[in-house]
Amino acid sequence: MLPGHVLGGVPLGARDAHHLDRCLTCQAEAAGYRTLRKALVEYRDERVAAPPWFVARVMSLLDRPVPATGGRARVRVLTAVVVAGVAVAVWGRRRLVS
Amino acid sequence: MTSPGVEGSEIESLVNAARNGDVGAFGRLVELHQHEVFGLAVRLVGDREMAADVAQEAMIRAWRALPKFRGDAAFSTWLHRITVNTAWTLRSRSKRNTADPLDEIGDVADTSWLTPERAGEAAMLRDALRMALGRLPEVHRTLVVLKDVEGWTHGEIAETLGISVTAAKVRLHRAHVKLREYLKEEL
Repeated sequence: MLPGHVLGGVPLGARDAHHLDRCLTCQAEAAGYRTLRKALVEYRDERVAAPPWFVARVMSLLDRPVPATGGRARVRVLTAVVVAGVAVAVWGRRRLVS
Repeated sequence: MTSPGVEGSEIESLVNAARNGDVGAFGRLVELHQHEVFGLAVRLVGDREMAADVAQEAMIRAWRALPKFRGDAAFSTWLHRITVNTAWTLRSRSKRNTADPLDEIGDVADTSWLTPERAGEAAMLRDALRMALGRLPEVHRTLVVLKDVEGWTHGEIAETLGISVTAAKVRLHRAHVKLREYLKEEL
């Protein structure tokens, strides 16, 4: 419950608050979460800038054709059909000859 | 977190124009949202080069999906969701997963308004947190970034990641416990 209390502002019940007041282990743990909260605030406030070429690159890629989903699968099925057809034809021819 | 001074109504009219195929309007939207989308991508994947790929792909996916955008959520919220999904997809596809160089991203913090001591402390905390985040499993890092940095609700996180709200809460709790330990070690 300490992460929720320190990081999420969830209030402690009277019993837990009383325990925290007396338990050095839990106080050390709470201090660790307070440091984490501080670090998260610093991390959140950090400004990260996109590279200067970003907009131009995106705009140049907008007219890129949409990848045809299932295209490879269709080629595989067609290939299998052709191979099967050839196999059947060869088998039929052999039967005729024999 | 778009550029300061940009009205919501301007975004709305740009979105409407872009939905009708106005490339120029979409270009302006990319310009206005580039830093927030890139920043989110960097925090999610921890690598500027890969983040650029993620942000770029997210923008292209947004352009293609715009006709389906109904405006139920704000455009930036919608764009952020696309970014998270794109990061998730590209990360799982990537073979560059072995390294997690989260320490590469901290080069643009504006600390000019802080005293040197305060700026030093802030930088130290950020660096330690980056290292600690880099040690978390990807799903835990994503949860921390979305909840604690981006301010998403558990419900929004659960919906986007395809997990239950309870699972999101439990995993976030575990992530916090680990993150506190790792941060202590890094400081």
